[in-house]
Amino acid sequence: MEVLQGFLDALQGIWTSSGFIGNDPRNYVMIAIALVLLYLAIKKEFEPLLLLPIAFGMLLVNVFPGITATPSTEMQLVTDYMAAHNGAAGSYPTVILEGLEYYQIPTNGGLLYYLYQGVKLGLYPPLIFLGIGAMTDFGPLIANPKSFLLGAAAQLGIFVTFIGAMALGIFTAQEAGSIAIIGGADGPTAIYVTSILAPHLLGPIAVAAYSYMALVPIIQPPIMKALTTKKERMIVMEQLRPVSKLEKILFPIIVTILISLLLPDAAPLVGMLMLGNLMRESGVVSRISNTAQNELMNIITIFLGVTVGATATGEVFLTPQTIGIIVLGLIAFGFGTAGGVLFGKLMCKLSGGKINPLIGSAGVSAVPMAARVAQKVGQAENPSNFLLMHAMGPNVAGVIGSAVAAGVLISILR
Amino acid sequence: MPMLLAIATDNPVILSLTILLTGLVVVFLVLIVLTGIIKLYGNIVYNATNKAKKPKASAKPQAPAAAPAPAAAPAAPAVESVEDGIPGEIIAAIAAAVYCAEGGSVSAIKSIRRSRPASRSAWGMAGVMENTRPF
Repeated sequence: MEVLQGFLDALQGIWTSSGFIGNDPRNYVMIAIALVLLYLAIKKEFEPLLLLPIAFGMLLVNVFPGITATPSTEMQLVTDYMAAHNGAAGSYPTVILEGLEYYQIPTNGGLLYYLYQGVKLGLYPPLIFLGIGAMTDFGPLIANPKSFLLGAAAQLGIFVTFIGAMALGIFTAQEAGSIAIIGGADGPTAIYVTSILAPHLLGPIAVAAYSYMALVPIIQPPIMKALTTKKERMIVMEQLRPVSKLEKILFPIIVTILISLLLPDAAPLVGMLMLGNLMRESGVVSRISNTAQNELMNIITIFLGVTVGATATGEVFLTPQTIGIIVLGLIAFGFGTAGGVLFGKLMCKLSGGKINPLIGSAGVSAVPMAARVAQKVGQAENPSNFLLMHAMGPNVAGVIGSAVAAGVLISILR
Repeated sequence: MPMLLAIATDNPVILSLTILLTGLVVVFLVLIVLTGIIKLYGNIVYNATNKAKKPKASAKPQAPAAAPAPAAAPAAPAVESVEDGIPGEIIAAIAAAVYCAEGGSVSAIKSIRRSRPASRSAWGMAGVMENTRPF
């Protein structure tokens, strides 16, 4: 009889501690959203390297919210503790409340709480940038430094979106800054800025940023076509000059010194990007360069994806703010593209028709997707036109541009 | 600066415009400065490496000069044969090629025009096609 009672008690204990009792109904909505995102990542291959871990982190946290629990202190009566431990005293700090002596027993946090520290302390995004730097060839940018201007013009989306977010009236200035950075079309930068300015919005902002980056081939072409004439889209650009190894080695060093001195808040991102690039271009540390682009990058991607996804609990995600973020993110991408293309048109006019304005759209970053889009739209008009390498210039300039814009937002709004 | 920010954060309109202005100006300024520096050192490095090569290359210019000459030779008759100037054998060859490619669905060839001279040679184009296909 006692055994049966024990069995029933145990069953009841398992039931009451299960997710079915403790979970908020909103968590089930989030589980559905996570499943949709998993579908998009696996079946449609929308930025799967990040969307898959993000979606799974989202699933995990809504099934078991305790996985992100912060470490806490449990209070237990000293007498209870000793009774449970055959009279042995514990070595915990004690506190006396209303005449009773309690032990303060520390409990550990959830798994993702610890992994999330890399996001919270701003460690993962710069490490991802290290890998990106080791993978990026700045040659097209060095060969055509004017590309920098297109990378700057495409940041227009960030600042326009900031105004839009403030105008909605439901966001604080810090939140608006974090939403605006979606327009940088650069996942790590968006996460870095948000982790500093508005960490509670990390989930929706990361999801919006990565989703729109995956949708660049759908978002950009209509804007690019609307703002350019057929004649402009058909412009064939001169072949880029070859870039020497010395120039490629000097580039990361000069960029780091200049940007870090001017804008210290951008130094962690730009510094790591350029360190990775120097490791690549110097040619003397191929082992660590390979590690940065492969193993390290992959490990950090897993941690970053899962923990950022795990910030999207039902309570945080299912708010009118998230809808606002999704809409503003689209505006940010649109204005960024338009800014780049319009500046490209200006440069086209000034250069006497030597620059194809389509490459301006690649200035939004989203490497290398945005450059591929410029290539495709250009080739649709003129099949013998190859804009890819020309578009890579503004594309990588956009990465530096959005890191600088991030520095500006952090320095003003923090 | 802190004074300005203290005022700005109170008023969303002023803050928005401050961010827009500061953001665009700083981003452009930094990237313009970078453009200038990259151009400058690009020129210096380019000139330095060219100077280093020049003394050795004094005998070489004849070789590259000779190379474009044969390339120009086949281009010369091309200039003469504009539309109706294309010789009959070539028209026959084009007609045969079109028939082979399209089958019997083509009833007549209305016009034959020379395409504009490509910026790359056919082989160069094939190479670029091959390398950019994955994108």
